[in-house]
Amino acid sequence: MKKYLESLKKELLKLRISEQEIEEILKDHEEMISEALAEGLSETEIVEKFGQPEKVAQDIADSNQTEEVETGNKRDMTLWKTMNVENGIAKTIVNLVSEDISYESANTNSITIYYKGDEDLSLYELSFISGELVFKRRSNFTNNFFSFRSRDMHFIVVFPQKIEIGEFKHNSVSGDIDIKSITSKAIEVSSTSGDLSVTKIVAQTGKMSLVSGDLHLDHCIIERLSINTVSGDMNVNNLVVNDEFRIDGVSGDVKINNSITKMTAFKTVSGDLDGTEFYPESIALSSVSGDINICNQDQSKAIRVLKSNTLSGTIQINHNRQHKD
Amino acid sequence: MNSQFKRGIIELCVLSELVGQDMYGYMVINNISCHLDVNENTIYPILRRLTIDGYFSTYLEESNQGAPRKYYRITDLGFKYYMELRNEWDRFIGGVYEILNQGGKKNEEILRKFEERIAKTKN
Repeated sequence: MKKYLESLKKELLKLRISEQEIEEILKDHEEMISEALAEGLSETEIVEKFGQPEKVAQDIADSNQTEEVETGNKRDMTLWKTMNVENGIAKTIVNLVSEDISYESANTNSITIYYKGDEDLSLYELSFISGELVFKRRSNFTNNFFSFRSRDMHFIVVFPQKIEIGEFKHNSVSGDIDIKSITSKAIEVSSTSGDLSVTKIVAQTGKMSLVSGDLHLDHCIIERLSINTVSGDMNVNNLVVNDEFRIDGVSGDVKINNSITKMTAFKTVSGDLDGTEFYPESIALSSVSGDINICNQDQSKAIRVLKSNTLSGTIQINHNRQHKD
Repeated sequence: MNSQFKRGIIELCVLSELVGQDMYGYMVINNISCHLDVNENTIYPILRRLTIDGYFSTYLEESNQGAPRKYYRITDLGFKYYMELRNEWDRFIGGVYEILNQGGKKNEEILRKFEERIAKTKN
Protein backbone atom coordinates (compact mmCIF):
# COMPACT_ATOMS: atom_id res chain seq x y z
CA MET A 1 0.00 0.00 0.00
CA LYS A 2 2.83 2.35 0.86
CA LYS A 3 4.36 1.86 -2.54
CA TYR A 4 1.04 2.49 -4.24
CA LEU A 5 0.46 5.69 -2.31
CA GLU A 6 3.98 6.87 -2.98
CA SER A 7 3.71 6.43 -6.71
CA LEU A 8 0.26 8.06 -6.66
CA LYS A 9 1.81 11.04 -4.90
CA LYS A 10 4.55 11.23 -7.51
CA GLU A 11 2.04 11.18 -10.35
CA LEU A 12 -0.13 13.83 -8.71
CA LEU A 13 2.89 16.08 -8.25
CA LYS A 14 3.72 15.68 -11.92
CA LEU A 15 0.27 16.96 -12.79
CA ARG A 16 0.70 20.05 -10.63
CA ILE A 17 -2.01 19.21 -8.16
CA SER A 18 -1.58 21.32 -5.05
CA GLU A 19 0.05 19.80 -1.99
CA GLN A 20 -3.00 20.31 0.15
CA GLU A 21 -5.13 18.42 -2.33
CA ILE A 22 -2.57 15.67 -2.69
CA GLU A 23 -2.57 15.15 1.05
CA GLU A 24 -6.34 14.80 1.03
CA ILE A 25 -6.37 12.46 -1.97
CA LEU A 26 -3.73 10.24 -0.39
CA LYS A 27 -5.64 10.09 2.87
CA ASP A 28 -8.80 9.09 1.02
CA HIS A 29 -6.91 6.39 -0.83
CA GLU A 30 -5.25 5.14 2.30
CA GLU A 31 -8.68 4.74 3.84
CA MET A 32 -10.17 3.02 0.80
CA ILE A 33 -7.22 0.69 0.37
CA SER A 34 -7.29 -0.35 4.01
CA GLU A 35 -10.94 -1.25 3.55
CA ALA A 36 -10.04 -3.32 0.52
CA LEU A 37 -7.19 -4.99 2.41
CA ALA A 38 -9.55 -5.76 5.28
CA GLU A 39 -11.82 -7.44 2.76
CA GLY A 40 -8.92 -9.68 1.90
CA LEU A 41 -7.79 -8.20 -1.39
CA SER A 42 -4.15 -8.72 -2.28
CA GLU A 43 -1.79 -5.91 -3.27
CA THR A 44 -2.08 -6.81 -6.96
CA GLU A 45 -5.86 -6.95 -6.72
CA ILE A 46 -5.77 -3.52 -5.20
CA VAL A 47 -3.86 -2.08 -8.11
CA GLU A 48 -6.40 -3.75 -10.36
CA LYS A 49 -9.29 -2.37 -8.38
CA PHE A 50 -8.10 1.19 -7.96
CA GLY A 51 -6.18 1.44 -11.20
CA GLN A 52 -2.59 2.29 -12.02
CA PRO A 53 -1.49 5.37 -10.04
CA GLU A 54 -0.73 7.12 -13.29
CA LYS A 55 -4.28 6.63 -14.51
CA VAL A 56 -5.81 7.56 -11.15
CA ALA A 57 -3.84 10.81 -11.03
CA GLN A 58 -4.83 11.68 -14.58
CA ASP A 59 -8.51 11.04 -13.84
CA ILE A 60 -8.31 13.28 -10.80
CA ALA A 61 -6.59 16.01 -12.79
CA ASP A 62 -9.23 15.69 -15.52
CA SER A 63 -12.03 16.08 -13.03
CA ASN A 64 -10.37 19.29 -11.83
CA GLN A 65 -10.93 20.79 -15.25
CA THR A 66 -13.81 23.15 -14.60
CA GLU A 67 -12.11 24.60 -11.56
CA GLU A 68 -8.94 25.08 -13.49
CA VAL A 69 -10.52 27.15 -16.22
CA GLU A 70 -12.12 29.44 -13.69
CA THR A 71 -9.10 30.12 -11.60
CA GLY A 72 -6.76 30.15 -14.54
CA ASN A 73 -4.01 28.25 -12.80
CA LYS A 74 -1.94 25.61 -14.44
CA ARG A 75 -2.33 22.64 -12.25
CA ASP A 76 -3.99 20.32 -14.68
CA MET A 77 -2.31 21.73 -17.73
CA THR A 78 0.44 19.78 -19.33
CA LEU A 79 3.78 21.42 -19.88
CA TRP A 80 4.49 21.60 -23.58
CA LYS A 81 7.62 23.64 -24.12
CA THR A 82 10.03 25.90 -22.28
CA MET A 83 12.18 28.28 -24.26
CA ASN A 84 15.00 30.28 -22.76
CA VAL A 85 14.88 34.03 -23.21
CA GLU A 86 18.37 35.49 -23.38
CA ASN A 87 18.10 38.79 -25.20
CA GLY A 88 14.53 39.87 -24.72
CA ILE A 89 11.45 39.27 -26.80
CA ALA A 90 11.29 41.42 -29.89
CA LYS A 91 8.13 39.93 -31.29
CA THR A 92 5.34 37.60 -30.38
CA ILE A 93 3.13 36.43 -33.20
CA VAL A 94 0.27 34.08 -32.45
CA ASN A 95 -2.32 32.85 -34.92
CA LEU A 96 -4.94 30.46 -33.69
CA VAL A 97 -8.45 29.38 -34.60
CA SER A 98 -10.78 28.12 -31.90
CA GLU A 99 -8.28 27.58 -29.11
CA ASP A 100 -8.64 29.42 -25.84
CA ILE A 101 -5.45 31.08 -24.75
CA SER A 102 -4.18 32.84 -21.64
CA TYR A 103 -1.07 34.98 -21.54
CA GLU A 104 0.53 35.72 -18.24
CA SER A 105 3.91 36.41 -16.73
CA ALA A 106 5.94 34.86 -13.96
CA ASN A 107 9.28 35.24 -12.31
CA THR A 108 11.25 33.12 -14.78
CA ASN A 109 13.76 33.57 -17.57
CA SER A 110 11.88 31.58 -20.11
CA ILE A 111 8.72 31.41 -22.14
CA THR A 112 6.70 28.41 -21.04
CA ILE A 113 3.71 26.98 -22.81
CA TYR A 114 1.15 24.69 -21.22
CA TYR A 115 -1.76 23.02 -22.90
CA LYS A 116 -4.89 21.13 -22.13
CA GLY A 117 -7.03 19.23 -24.59
CA ASP A 118 -6.49 16.40 -26.95
CA GLU A 119 -5.82 18.18 -30.20
CA ASP A 120 -2.77 16.91 -32.02
CA LEU A 121 0.11 19.21 -31.11
CA SER A 122 1.76 18.64 -34.48
CA LEU A 123 -0.98 20.89 -35.87
CA TYR A 124 0.85 23.80 -34.29
CA GLU A 125 4.01 25.55 -35.24
CA LEU A 126 5.95 26.86 -32.29
CA SER A 127 9.34 28.48 -32.32
CA PHE A 128 11.39 31.10 -30.54
CA ILE A 129 14.26 32.20 -32.74
CA SER A 130 16.32 35.36 -32.31
CA GLY A 131 13.85 37.00 -30.02
CA GLU A 132 10.79 36.14 -32.09
CA LEU A 133 8.10 33.91 -30.72
CA VAL A 134 5.91 32.35 -33.38
CA PHE A 135 2.96 30.20 -32.42
CA LYS A 136 0.57 29.27 -35.19
CA ARG A 137 -1.97 26.71 -36.06
CA ARG A 138 -0.81 25.27 -39.36
CA SER A 139 -3.17 26.10 -42.15
CA ASN A 140 -4.83 22.94 -43.13
CA PHE A 141 -7.76 22.94 -45.46
CA THR A 142 -9.88 20.34 -43.72
CA ASN A 143 -9.21 21.87 -40.36
CA ASN A 144 -10.21 25.32 -41.38
CA PHE A 145 -13.13 24.17 -43.38
CA PHE A 146 -14.56 21.90 -40.76
CA SER A 147 -13.55 24.08 -37.92
CA PHE A 148 -16.44 22.76 -35.83
CA ARG A 149 -14.50 19.55 -35.64
CA SER A 150 -11.57 21.02 -33.87
CA ARG A 151 -11.39 19.90 -30.28
CA ASP A 152 -11.37 21.97 -27.15
CA MET A 153 -7.90 23.22 -26.63
CA HIS A 154 -6.56 25.64 -24.08
CA PHE A 155 -3.07 27.10 -23.99
CA ILE A 156 -1.28 29.13 -21.37
CA VAL A 157 1.74 31.12 -22.42
CA VAL A 158 3.89 32.39 -19.58
CA PHE A 159 6.38 35.17 -20.27
CA PRO A 160 9.19 36.30 -18.01
CA GLN A 161 8.16 39.15 -15.75
CA LYS A 162 9.65 42.61 -16.25
CA ILE A 163 10.45 41.97 -19.88
CA GLU A 164 9.01 44.35 -22.41
CA ILE A 165 7.78 42.52 -25.45
CA GLY A 166 8.52 44.58 -28.56
CA GLU A 167 5.56 43.69 -30.67
CA PHE A 168 2.72 41.53 -29.44
CA LYS A 169 0.31 40.26 -32.08
CA HIS A 170 -2.48 37.84 -31.51
CA ASN A 171 -5.06 36.71 -33.99
CA SER A 172 -7.72 34.07 -33.60
CA VAL A 173 -11.24 33.26 -34.72
CA SER A 174 -13.41 31.92 -31.98
CA GLY A 175 -11.21 31.14 -29.02
CA ASP A 176 -11.32 33.24 -25.87
CA ILE A 177 -8.27 35.33 -25.10
CA ASP A 178 -7.05 36.30 -21.68
CA ILE A 179 -4.06 38.62 -21.41
CA LYS A 180 -2.63 39.39 -18.00
CA SER A 181 0.40 41.27 -16.71
CA ILE A 182 2.17 41.91 -19.98
CA THR A 183 4.31 44.89 -20.91
CA SER A 184 4.69 45.63 -24.58
CA LYS A 185 5.54 48.43 -26.97
CA ALA A 186 2.72 47.59 -29.30
CA ILE A 187 -0.06 45.21 -28.55
CA GLU A 188 -2.44 44.11 -31.26
CA VAL A 189 -5.21 41.58 -30.75
CA SER A 190 -7.91 40.50 -33.12
CA SER A 191 -10.63 37.90 -32.89
CA THR A 192 -13.97 37.29 -34.55
CA SER A 193 -16.20 35.74 -31.98
CA GLY A 194 -13.95 35.04 -29.03
CA ASP A 195 -14.13 37.13 -25.87
CA LEU A 196 -11.11 39.18 -24.93
CA SER A 197 -10.05 39.97 -21.41
CA VAL A 198 -7.09 42.28 -20.84
CA THR A 199 -5.78 42.94 -17.34
CA LYS A 200 -2.73 44.73 -15.96
CA ILE A 201 -1.23 45.61 -19.29
CA VAL A 202 1.26 48.39 -19.86
CA ALA A 203 1.70 49.32 -23.51
CA GLN A 204 2.56 52.24 -25.73
CA THR A 205 0.01 51.42 -28.37
CA GLY A 206 -2.93 49.09 -28.20
CA LYS A 207 -5.16 47.93 -31.01
CA MET A 208 -8.00 45.54 -30.43
CA SER A 209 -10.37 44.32 -33.08
CA LEU A 210 -13.34 42.17 -32.29
CA VAL A 211 -16.53 41.39 -34.13
CA SER A 212 -19.00 39.77 -31.82
CA GLY A 213 -16.87 38.92 -28.82
CA ASP A 214 -17.04 40.95 -25.62
CA LEU A 215 -14.10 42.92 -24.30
CA HIS A 216 -13.04 43.40 -20.70
CA LEU A 217 -10.26 45.82 -19.90
CA ASP A 218 -9.05 46.24 -16.38
CA HIS A 219 -6.07 48.02 -14.81
CA CYS A 220 -4.34 48.92 -18.04
CA ILE A 221 -2.03 51.79 -18.88
CA ILE A 222 -1.88 52.33 -22.59
CA GLU A 223 -0.50 55.40 -24.31
CA ARG A 224 -2.75 55.23 -27.36
CA LEU A 225 -5.59 52.78 -27.60
CA SER A 226 -7.98 51.98 -30.40
CA ILE A 227 -10.75 49.44 -30.22
CA ASN A 228 -12.85 48.13 -33.09
CA THR A 229 -15.91 46.05 -32.55
CA VAL A 230 -19.21 45.33 -34.25
CA SER A 231 -21.68 43.87 -31.85
CA GLY A 232 -19.63 42.93 -28.82
CA ASP A 233 -20.03 44.82 -25.56
CA MET A 234 -17.17 46.49 -23.74
CA ASN A 235 -16.48 46.81 -20.09
CA VAL A 236 -13.61 49.06 -19.10
CA ASN A 237 -12.32 49.59 -15.58
CA ASN A 238 -9.30 51.45 -14.25
CA LEU A 239 -7.89 52.44 -17.57
CA VAL A 240 -5.34 55.15 -18.14
CA VAL A 241 -4.84 56.36 -21.68
CA ASN A 242 -2.35 59.23 -21.89
CA ASP A 243 -3.18 60.05 -25.44
CA GLU A 244 -6.04 59.19 -27.73
CA PHE A 245 -8.65 56.56 -26.97
CA ARG A 246 -10.74 55.54 -29.97
CA ILE A 247 -13.70 53.23 -29.93
CA ASP A 248 -15.28 52.21 -33.20
CA GLY A 249 -18.39 50.14 -32.83
CA VAL A 250 -21.70 49.41 -34.44
CA SER A 251 -24.19 48.14 -31.93
CA GLY A 252 -22.16 47.15 -28.90
CA ASP A 253 -22.52 49.09 -25.64
CA VAL A 254 -19.54 50.48 -23.75
CA LYS A 255 -19.23 50.85 -20.00
CA ILE A 256 -16.29 52.76 -18.56
CA ASN A 257 -15.48 53.10 -14.88
CA ASN A 258 -12.67 54.82 -13.01
CA SER A 259 -10.73 55.79 -16.07
CA ILE A 260 -8.72 58.72 -17.32
CA THR A 261 -7.99 59.52 -20.95
CA LYS A 262 -6.90 62.48 -22.97
CA MET A 263 -9.27 62.46 -25.92
CA THR A 264 -11.93 59.83 -26.22
CA ALA A 265 -13.56 59.39 -29.59
CA PHE A 266 -16.63 57.19 -29.72
CA LYS A 267 -17.99 56.17 -33.08
CA THR A 268 -21.01 53.91 -33.27
CA VAL A 269 -24.36 53.34 -34.94
CA SER A 270 -26.59 52.40 -32.07
CA GLY A 271 -24.34 51.52 -29.17
CA ASP A 272 -24.23 53.66 -26.02
CA LEU A 273 -21.29 54.71 -23.90
CA ASP A 274 -21.96 54.88 -20.19
CA GLY A 275 -19.23 56.28 -17.99
CA THR A 276 -18.97 56.63 -14.22
CA GLU A 277 -15.90 58.21 -12.72
CA PHE A 278 -14.72 58.52 -16.29
CA TYR A 279 -12.57 61.59 -16.89
CA PRO A 280 -11.57 62.19 -20.47
CA GLU A 281 -10.11 65.63 -21.15
CA SER A 282 -12.29 65.82 -24.20
CA ILE A 283 -14.82 63.70 -25.94
CA ALA A 284 -16.13 63.26 -29.47
CA LEU A 285 -19.23 61.39 -30.50
CA SER A 286 -20.14 60.22 -33.94
CA SER A 287 -23.26 58.11 -34.08
CA VAL A 288 -26.70 57.53 -35.55
CA SER A 289 -28.60 56.88 -32.36
CA GLY A 290 -25.87 56.05 -29.86
CA ASP A 291 -25.49 58.24 -26.76
CA ILE A 292 -22.74 59.19 -24.38
CA ASN A 293 -23.67 59.47 -20.77
CA ILE A 294 -21.07 60.33 -18.16
CA CYS A 295 -21.71 60.57 -14.48
CA ASN A 296 -18.84 61.70 -12.24
CA GLN A 297 -18.39 62.60 -8.57
CA ASP A 298 -15.79 65.25 -9.21
CA GLN A 299 -17.60 67.78 -11.30
CA SER A 300 -14.80 70.32 -11.22
CA LYS A 301 -13.00 68.39 -13.92
CA ALA A 302 -14.52 69.67 -17.09
CA ILE A 303 -14.96 67.45 -20.10
CA ARG A 304 -14.73 69.29 -23.34
CA VAL A 305 -17.04 68.17 -26.13
CA LEU A 306 -15.00 68.33 -29.30
CA LYS A 307 -17.35 67.01 -31.87
CA SER A 308 -20.86 65.69 -31.81
CA ASN A 309 -21.89 64.30 -35.10
CA THR A 310 -25.06 62.41 -34.45
CA LEU A 311 -28.57 61.99 -35.78
CA SER A 312 -30.49 61.31 -32.61
CA GLY A 313 -27.80 60.55 -30.09
CA THR A 314 -27.06 62.83 -27.16
CA ILE A 315 -24.11 63.62 -24.93
CA GLN A 316 -24.97 64.02 -21.31
CA ILE A 317 -22.32 64.82 -18.77
CA ASN A 318 -23.17 64.67 -15.09
CA HIS A 319 -26.79 64.94 -16.03
CA ASN A 320 -28.10 62.17 -13.87
CA ARG A 321 -26.34 63.31 -10.75
CA GLN A 322 -28.71 66.12 -10.03
CA HIS A 323 -31.55 63.66 -10.07
CA LYS A 324 -29.79 61.30 -7.76
CA ASP A 325 -28.94 63.89 -5.11
CA MET B 1 -18.48 4.90 -24.82
CA ASN B 2 -17.97 8.62 -24.92
CA SER B 3 -16.13 9.40 -21.71
CA GLN B 4 -18.05 12.61 -21.01
CA PHE B 5 -21.31 10.73 -21.35
CA LYS B 6 -20.11 7.95 -19.12
CA ARG B 7 -18.94 10.45 -16.56
CA GLY B 8 -22.39 11.96 -16.42
CA ILE B 9 -23.96 8.56 -15.81
CA ILE B 10 -21.54 7.71 -13.02
CA GLU B 11 -22.15 11.12 -11.49
CA LEU B 12 -25.85 10.33 -11.41
CA CYS B 13 -25.14 6.92 -9.85
CA VAL B 14 -22.90 8.40 -7.16
CA LEU B 15 -25.54 10.99 -6.28
CA SER B 16 -28.21 8.34 -6.30
CA GLU B 17 -26.29 6.15 -3.87
CA LEU B 18 -25.92 9.02 -1.45
CA VAL B 19 -29.50 10.23 -1.65
CA GLY B 20 -30.61 7.33 0.54
CA GLN B 21 -27.88 7.32 3.15
CA ASP B 22 -24.47 8.70 4.07
CA MET B 23 -21.64 6.46 2.92
CA TYR B 24 -17.88 6.23 3.07
CA GLY B 25 -15.84 6.23 -0.11
CA TYR B 26 -15.13 2.54 -0.39
CA MET B 27 -18.79 1.72 0.14
CA VAL B 28 -19.86 4.01 -2.70
CA ILE B 29 -17.28 2.46 -4.98
CA ASN B 30 -18.29 -1.10 -4.09
CA ASN B 31 -22.00 -0.44 -4.43
CA ILE B 32 -21.61 1.00 -7.88
CA SER B 33 -19.04 -1.38 -9.24
CA CYS B 34 -21.13 -4.41 -8.34
CA HIS B 35 -23.86 -3.14 -10.70
CA LEU B 36 -21.83 -1.48 -13.40
CA ASP B 37 -18.72 -2.57 -15.15
CA VAL B 38 -16.71 0.58 -14.45
CA ASN B 39 -13.22 0.98 -13.19
CA GLU B 40 -13.17 1.99 -9.57
CA ASN B 41 -10.68 4.66 -10.39
CA THR B 42 -13.34 6.58 -12.28
CA ILE B 43 -15.61 6.81 -9.26
CA TYR B 44 -13.28 8.46 -6.78
CA PRO B 45 -12.47 11.53 -8.91
CA ILE B 46 -16.18 12.09 -9.42
CA LEU B 47 -16.93 11.72 -5.73
CA ARG B 48 -14.18 14.20 -5.00
CA ARG B 49 -15.27 16.65 -7.68
CA LEU B 50 -18.87 16.62 -6.47
CA THR B 51 -17.64 17.30 -2.93
CA ILE B 52 -15.55 20.28 -4.09
CA ASP B 53 -18.57 21.60 -5.96
CA GLY B 54 -20.58 21.54 -2.75
CA TYR B 55 -22.89 18.65 -3.59
CA PHE B 56 -21.59 16.58 -0.69
CA SER B 57 -20.28 17.45 2.71
CA THR B 58 -17.99 15.12 4.61
CA TYR B 59 -17.47 14.11 8.23
CA LEU B 60 -15.35 11.53 10.01
CA GLU B 61 -16.79 8.67 11.99
CA GLU B 62 -15.02 6.01 14.01
CA SER B 63 -15.21 2.52 12.61
CA ASN B 64 -14.42 -0.90 13.97
CA GLN B 65 -11.83 -1.16 11.19
CA GLY B 66 -9.48 1.05 13.18
CA ALA B 67 -8.99 4.35 11.39
CA PRO B 68 -12.04 6.65 11.20
CA ARG B 69 -13.94 6.69 7.94
CA LYS B 70 -14.75 9.75 5.88
CA TYR B 71 -18.47 9.80 5.26
CA TYR B 72 -20.11 11.69 2.44
CA ARG B 73 -23.49 13.34 2.92
CA ILE B 74 -25.55 14.87 0.14
CA THR B 75 -26.30 18.60 0.57
CA ASP B 76 -29.47 20.45 -0.47
CA LEU B 77 -27.58 21.68 -3.49
CA GLY B 78 -26.54 18.12 -4.24
CA PHE B 79 -30.11 16.92 -4.02
CA LYS B 80 -31.27 19.64 -6.38
CA TYR B 81 -28.54 18.71 -8.81
CA TYR B 82 -29.48 15.03 -8.51
CA MET B 83 -33.10 15.78 -9.39
CA GLU B 84 -32.02 17.81 -12.41
CA LEU B 85 -29.70 15.09 -13.66
CA ARG B 86 -32.27 12.44 -12.98
CA ASN B 87 -34.99 14.22 -14.96
CA GLU B 88 -32.61 14.76 -17.81
CA TRP B 89 -31.60 11.13 -17.74
CA ASP B 90 -35.21 9.86 -17.60
CA ARG B 91 -36.15 11.97 -20.57
CA PHE B 92 -33.12 10.86 -22.51
CA ILE B 93 -33.36 7.18 -21.77
CA GLY B 94 -37.14 7.27 -22.37
CA GLY B 95 -36.51 8.63 -25.83
CA VAL B 96 -33.85 6.02 -26.50
CA TYR B 97 -36.24 3.21 -25.53
CA GLU B 98 -39.00 4.62 -27.66
CA ILE B 99 -36.65 4.39 -30.62
CA LEU B 100 -35.37 0.94 -29.74
CA ASN B 101 -38.82 -0.47 -29.04
CA GLN B 102 -40.16 0.44 -32.44
CA GLY B 103 -38.91 -2.93 -33.59
CA GLY B 104 -40.52 -4.84 -30.74
CA LYS B 105 -39.89 -5.20 -27.04
CA LYS B 106 -38.37 -8.64 -26.79
CA ASN B 107 -35.33 -10.02 -28.52
CA GLU B 108 -37.32 -12.91 -30.00
CA GLU B 109 -39.86 -10.52 -31.41
CA ILE B 110 -37.15 -8.36 -32.96
CA LEU B 111 -35.44 -11.40 -34.45
CA ARG B 112 -38.71 -12.78 -35.85
CA LYS B 113 -39.58 -9.45 -37.47
CA PHE B 114 -36.10 -9.14 -38.90
CA GLU B 115 -36.20 -12.65 -40.35
CA GLU B 116 -39.59 -11.95 -41.90
CA ARG B 117 -38.21 -8.87 -43.55
CA ILE B 118 -35.16 -10.68 -44.89
CA ALA B 119 -37.38 -13.45 -46.22
CA LYS B 120 -39.57 -10.87 -47.97
CA THR B 121 -36.66 -9.16 -49.71
CA LYS B 122 -35.33 -12.54 -50.88
CA ASN B 123 -38.59 -13.32 -52.62
